[in-house]
Amino acid sequence: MRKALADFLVQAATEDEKIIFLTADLGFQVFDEFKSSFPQRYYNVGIAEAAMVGIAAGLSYSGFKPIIYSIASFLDSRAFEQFRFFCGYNNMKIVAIGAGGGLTYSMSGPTHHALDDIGLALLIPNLLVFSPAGPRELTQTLYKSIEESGSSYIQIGKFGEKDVYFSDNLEKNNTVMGIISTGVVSGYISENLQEYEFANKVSHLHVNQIHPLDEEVLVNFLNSHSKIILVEEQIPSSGIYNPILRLINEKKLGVEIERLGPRAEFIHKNRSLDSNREFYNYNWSEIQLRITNFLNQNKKI
Amino acid sequence: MLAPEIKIRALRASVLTALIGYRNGSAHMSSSLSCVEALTAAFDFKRMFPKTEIILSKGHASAAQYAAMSQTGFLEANQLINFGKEESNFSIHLSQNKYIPLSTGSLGHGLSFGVGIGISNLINKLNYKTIVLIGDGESNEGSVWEAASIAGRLHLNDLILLVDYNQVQAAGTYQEISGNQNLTSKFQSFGWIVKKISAHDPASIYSELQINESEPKVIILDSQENPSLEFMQNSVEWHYRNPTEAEIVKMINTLNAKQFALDILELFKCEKL
Repeated sequence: MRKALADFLVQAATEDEKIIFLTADLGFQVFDEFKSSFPQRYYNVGIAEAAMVGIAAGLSYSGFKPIIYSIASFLDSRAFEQFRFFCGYNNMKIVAIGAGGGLTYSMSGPTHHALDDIGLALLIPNLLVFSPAGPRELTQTLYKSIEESGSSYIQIGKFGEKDVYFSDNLEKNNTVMGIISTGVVSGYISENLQEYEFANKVSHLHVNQIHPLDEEVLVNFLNSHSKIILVEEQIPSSGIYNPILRLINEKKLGVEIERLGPRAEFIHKNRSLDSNREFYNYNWSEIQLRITNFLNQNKKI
Repeated sequence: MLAPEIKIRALRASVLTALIGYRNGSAHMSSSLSCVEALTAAFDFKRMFPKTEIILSKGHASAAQYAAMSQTGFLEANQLINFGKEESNFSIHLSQNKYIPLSTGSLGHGLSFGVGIGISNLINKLNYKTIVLIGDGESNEGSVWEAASIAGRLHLNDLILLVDYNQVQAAGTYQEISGNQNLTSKFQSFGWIVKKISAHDPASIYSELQINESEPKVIILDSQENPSLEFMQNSVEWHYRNPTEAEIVKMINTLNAKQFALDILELFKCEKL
């Protein structure tokens, strides 16, 4: 996904002389082409996330279209008040990219785990919040964010993420169980679902835009299933779980939701991404087990 | 621009600030009166050079900024009649308008915003000045130094930082809270040019704003010596309280500004002080 971001930056800066890129000293060699092509519009501000948001706001006020970059575990947590102050209260337009979403940097430990960045972004009024699954979707999201009048926070992965179709099996009317997911974990689910023997019994909706939600699509999906498994790589108070529960309550929907994902605790052991997904019971084996159990109980196989 | 004219406008802005505090309350009196003359000089400068951006980072001095703007032609003084009142656009922390690029209130944000404007001018090869005013206590915030470091590294020579060195913070004196910090050597080490001027000498502040520098410049405004404000000097209490009638009268008499005060009172539809 970082390659898609780097390619987008070069393309967008070629098309629009107001595009300017700031990084808080991250992305070694990733943005070299942009840096050499547009040296006046590339600023490494140093390890200074708070100042980066303020500087971007000043550039935005002056007519530039700033895109800022750090890793997801640092960007909006380190500079939360700056996001609230500049992007929220003062309505300055910034596109913020948090790389290494969820447990992408699993082995680097809790300081590098981004399990609350989405929730923090959701607290800022007027901030659009995205969590694309793969590079193609990221590029579309970036173009959309540039066009929007307000600021955006986009959580991305690192490299090798897979795009998913907007949804898997939605066209099939006979699906009884639904999976909703967001972010890089969506590609993981989609990839495994395609190999799954009962795939035609399960539909999968990937949610890229977390705020504001596409309520029509979600209500339709939620109404079409009696049971939903929701998978996210955020702690429960941070991701799409609460926004979707709110939607269910507001629309008085009768669907049952089971959430899978990290618990609200720090991981003190050194573990790979796969091990952590297994530890927190949201690896594919666990998801598959829950689907199979549900289908067996409902005798729909 | 003539020095006497600047001084008169700054003096009137001071009296207006005090009257706003007296009549409307909630105006952060000492924090406003320590920088009102510098703000008047800055808006006088903007009057001559309209592309200048002025960012009051210490947003709790909004009464000073509004008073300075009213005396330099950026707003009508009668608009301030509702300062701090219900539904007013003139709030006790500064709010955006045509000449105010940034609403402020929480501290530590103005300088990074000014750096962003400075970078924009650098890219566009424009020599417009960007003036940011912070408090000395505000310099406790780490984001100030992140921004100061970047401004120094990028040689943003059209960026001017005014530090209101009134030596009073929210819960104690600057020395009590911040210790014996040497702001001069701190800014110099970040690559800034450092000047010190009396906060109550608006003509000299104006002259300093006119100088083109090779590096970003900080002007430390010493607001300690002010005969008209002797009663609130070095007082933490004055961060919160408003002047009494006797104090206002004393200030107006010391500044020899009775007629101006009467005009303002008439404008504000006050029958008496």
